[in-house]
Formats: sequence, C-alpha cells, structure tokens
Amino acid sequence: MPEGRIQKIKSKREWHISLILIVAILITTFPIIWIVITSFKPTVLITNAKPLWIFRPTLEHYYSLLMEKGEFDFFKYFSNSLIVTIATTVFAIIIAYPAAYSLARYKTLGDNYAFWILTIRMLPPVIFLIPIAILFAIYGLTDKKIGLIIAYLTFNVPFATWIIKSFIEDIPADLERAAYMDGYSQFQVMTKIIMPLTRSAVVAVAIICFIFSWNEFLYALVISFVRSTTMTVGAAQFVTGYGIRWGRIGAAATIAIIPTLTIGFLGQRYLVRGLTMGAVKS
Amino acid sequence: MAEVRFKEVWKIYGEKVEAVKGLNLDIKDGEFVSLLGPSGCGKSSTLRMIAGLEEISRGELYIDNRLVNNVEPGERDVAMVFENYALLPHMTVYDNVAFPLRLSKEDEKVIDKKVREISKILDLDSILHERAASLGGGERQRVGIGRALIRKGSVLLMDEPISHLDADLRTRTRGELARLQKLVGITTVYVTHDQIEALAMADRIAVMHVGELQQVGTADDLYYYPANLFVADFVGEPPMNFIPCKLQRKGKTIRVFAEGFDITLGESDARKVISGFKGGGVWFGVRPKDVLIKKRGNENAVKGTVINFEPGCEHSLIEANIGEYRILVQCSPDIVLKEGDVFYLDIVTKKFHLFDHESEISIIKRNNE
Repeated sequence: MPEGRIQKIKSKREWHISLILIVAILITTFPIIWIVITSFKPTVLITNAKPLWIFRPTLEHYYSLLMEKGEFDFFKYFSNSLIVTIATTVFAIIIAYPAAYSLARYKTLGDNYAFWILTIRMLPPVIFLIPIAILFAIYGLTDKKIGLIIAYLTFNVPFATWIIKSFIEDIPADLERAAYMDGYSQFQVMTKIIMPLTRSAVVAVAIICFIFSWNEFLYALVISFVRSTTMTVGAAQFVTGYGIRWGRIGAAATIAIIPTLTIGFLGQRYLVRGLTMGAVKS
Repeated sequence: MAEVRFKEVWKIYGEKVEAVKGLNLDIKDGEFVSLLGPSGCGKSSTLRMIAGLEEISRGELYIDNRLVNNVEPGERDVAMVFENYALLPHMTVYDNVAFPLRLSKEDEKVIDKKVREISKILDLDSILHERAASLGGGERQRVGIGRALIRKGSVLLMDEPISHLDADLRTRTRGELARLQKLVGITTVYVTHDQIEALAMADRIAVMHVGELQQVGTADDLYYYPANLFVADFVGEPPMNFIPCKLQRKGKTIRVFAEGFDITLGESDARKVISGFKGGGVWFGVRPKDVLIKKRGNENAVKGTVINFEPGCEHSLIEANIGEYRILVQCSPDIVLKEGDVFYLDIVTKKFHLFDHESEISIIKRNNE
C-alpha cells in the first residue's frame, strides 16, 4: 500500500514538470513552427486576417526559390553560407586548439592574457563592425567569402580557445608527465593523450561555431554584397519595397534551418557536456 | 639497475622559494630508499628532479654515474608511479600498461608478452580488459605500477602511491610493494609523509624538513639514534616527549635538571653524551613507551601528577605533569590511574635522548663512536 502511494505522488510531480516543459517548448519553437507552416501556405492565405492552420499546402514558394534565378540565387547563397560556416568552424578549431593547450599547460603570457581573450567574445560583435568594415574596405576583403571567414574567426577563435582551454585544464597534468617520462614529445602528448580526452569539447565547440556562423546576419549584411552573400542576408531580400514576400522567406528559412537542426540533433550529447563543463567540479 | 647520487643539489622556484637546499644523498643500486617528511619539506621536488620533470637549480645529479642535469625525462631510463596513478581513463588496463612501449613501435607480439608478464606479477589478469575509469583505488595503483615497470628502467620512483587507499588496503599493499621491489631488484625512491610506511618498507630513510636533509639511515638508526630534534619528534608514534633542561657535568657524572626534577646520570649513562658538550641548555627527550612507572623513593625517580588517563587494550596512555612540563607516558594496560594521582617515573633507565638546546642536534654518541 505505501509503495503504491509513493508511485502516485511521483507521477503527479512528473506530470507537472512535463506540462511546464511542453509549454516552454511550444513558446520557444512557435515562431519556427509558424514560419515552416507559412512556407507551405499559398501567398493569398498568408496575409489573411485570421491565422489559418488548415489549408491546402503548396510548393510554389519552394519552387520559386530553387528554380527561378533572378534576384534570389538559392544555390549560390546556400553554398556561400555552407562554405563560410564550415571553413570558419574548421579554422577556428585548428587555430584554437594549440592556443588552448599552450594557455592551459604553459600559462603563456599569463592569466591576464587568457582572460583578455575571453573578453573579446564577451563583447557584442556589433562593436567591431565599423572598424572591421573600414579595414576590409581598405584591404579589399569586402564581398569575398574569405573576408567573412576572417571576420567570423575574430569571435569564434576566442570562444573556442576558452572552452577547449577549460577542458584541458580539467585533465590531470600527471597524465602528460607520465607520457613525458615514457619519452613522448610535447606534440605527441597533445595528439595522443589530450586530444582523445577532449573530443566532446571539440565537438561542442564545432557545433556552436557552426550555428553562430550559419546564423550570422549583421556582418554578412555589411561586408558582403553580391558575390559572397549568405542565406541570412539573401532571405532578407524578400523584404521589398512592394511588400514582404512571406512565403519566400518562409521557404528560405525552412531550408536554412535544416543543416543546423541536423547537426544539433546529431551532436546534442556533446552539447550538453560541452556547455555544462566546469559547472560542477568533480 | 643504477645508483642515484645528489651532489649539493638545490631546487629554487622563481627566485626565492628554496624547496631543496644543498642535498647530498647517495642511493645504492637496488636499494629501497624512502624520502620522508611533512608537506613542503622538499621530498616531492627531489623526486621530480630525479624524474627530470623539474630542473635542477644548482648542483649535480648522477644516475648510474651519468650526469643527468640536462637529460630529458624520456632519456633517463627512469619510471614513475604518480600519486593519482596517471592512467588514461578511456583506455583499457592492457593499453595503459602497454602505452610506454607503443612509442618505440615495438612488435605487437613482443608487447603482448611483456604486458602478460607484468600482469601475472601484479595480478592484473582479471581486469586486463576493463577500462581504467571503472577501476577501484587498489586496482588503479597496481596498473600504475605495471605501467611503470614495463619498460624495465633503472630507477623506480613512487610519489605517495598508497596515500589514497583505505587504511587496511594500505597496510596490505605496503608489504606487497616491499616484496615486489625485492623481487624485481630495481633501485627505488619512495616519497611519503607517513613514517610508519617509510619505516616498514625502506632499506634506508632520508628525512627531510624545509628543504634540508635531516638524517639518512635505517629505521633503527632513526628511531634509536635520531640526529636532531626534528627527526626525534617526527619518527615514532606517539611522538617523543621533550623537556627543556640544563645539563651540568660533575666529574664523571652528569646532572640534568629543570623545574620539577633533578636527575643524576651515572658514569655509564654519562658516557653516552659526547665529550665535546661541556654543559648548558639541552632538550631532554624520552619516548612515551620508554618511561617506567616506579614505586616511590627510587633514585632518579621523578614525581608526576596525572592529568589524564586513557585506558586501552594494548596499552594505556597517561598525560602527566612533571613540575611544569607535560609528558605522555605509555604503559601496560594493567596499570590503572586516575586524574590527580601522584606517581613516580623513571625517565632515564630504559632509553633517553639529549639534544643541544640551540642547535637541536643530538649530543648522544652514535653506536660506534
């Protein structure tokens, strides 16, 4: 009898928590759900006074986006986004990893230097917008994918460095000392011991860098014009002087969500570990 | 197998912190030497200098007659067991033990043979394919030792390898480690702050304090002939009693006195004091178990008042006042006293120690002087 009562109380609590979670999820994902629905709605029905949930879906927006050239060159925008994002992520990790190792194990240039690196990422990116825009204009980096990559690395590298550094610091130094005594070199210690142990950090950092770069709008807007425009800026083109072409925006957004959604879904396990690292000291 | 020799070795951190000062120490081939001392005494720094993980600030270090001051850790042929064993958590026991050999790209079959050999000696067979992260303390320690021994180095270093184990496991492991060392015959340097461990396992013990070597000797040397006040206090449980007194020579006898007691050391006892010491302030030392409880009126009996009586199964502990000094007495469990009782102690007959009050150095002759 007592067991049964305890069971009942437990499930009652779970029920409350589940409800709260469901509501929270609905609130945060509602804009996305709405946009996806809009992308399948015929234009006529989109601006209807009463929001419509039931209608006959259409693929006209997708068709227009993918097939019709003209202003919106979908494939160019998508590939630009993809190239810039992947390049940023890869370079960020390649640059950040040895830096993180050097900061963690050798305290290179001191604690103040490490903290300064962190503060770069703490600042709102918009602060650097004008100086970067002017510098890029002078050095001919505007409207080039490489320019965008460099701009994104400015924020991604400090972030990646800091996260990876924290992970490395959590690894006991004796592991490396033991390897030194076995005759391993510094580089081998980094690759054979530290890297396998920091896998989840690197994946988490990669995912976050990917999402940041993929979604970035402001710099893409200012620095890229025609040739290196990304999906984010491209989709904004549908806000025209003649009206907002919600259907096209919806389709562009829906397609744009797919890569990040996929990556986030596949790597969610690493995300949890990566973001909560350091929160609890073991 | 190799000797390790320290010649006037110093370790200075930054420019000010002198962790090891002028260390001179010879460790013989195949010997088990323990570096013993409280935290911060310099024992770990000394060990790491042998390993090559710390630079030598001044002086010379020889391993197997080779000057190794500037030799990389990997080239010194030295193996080390770390305090927390330094195992790679995601690898199996097998891979952890094989790890040092994988660098030299030896044939996998040869590696396998060596791993199984070590595994047999250290009883790792049953956990060979477990992941290191899932092991218990005692198992990890054995794996740590296996990993250190597999390269058959000349010197084995151990940095408090059993301090993180439970008390009973520690006691068992002490004996096993000592046996293992004799079996393998490798020169071993073992750092610990636990004097019971050091005395139980080592051939010789080097006691260190604030960076300075206090005394090197066998367990008996340290226990019966401590070189100074620090060693006398540190070695032995419960710790030695110390009473500040004055020493006066009277012909062939010696008078030792303080507030509350006045003792005359007869000729044979007086001869134990080095002739160079003419008189003056001293510390009188006597171990709790060397204090004898007497009937009154005995010559040299000292009057004491019981402050606290702690009965026990193996022995009882009495806290007593002699004059204005507090001492601890360990006696047989048959004796029963209570607070306030007056009794008489003989603090001389069994074994006593004397130290110069200023320098704190022993003024008792060593065995063969």
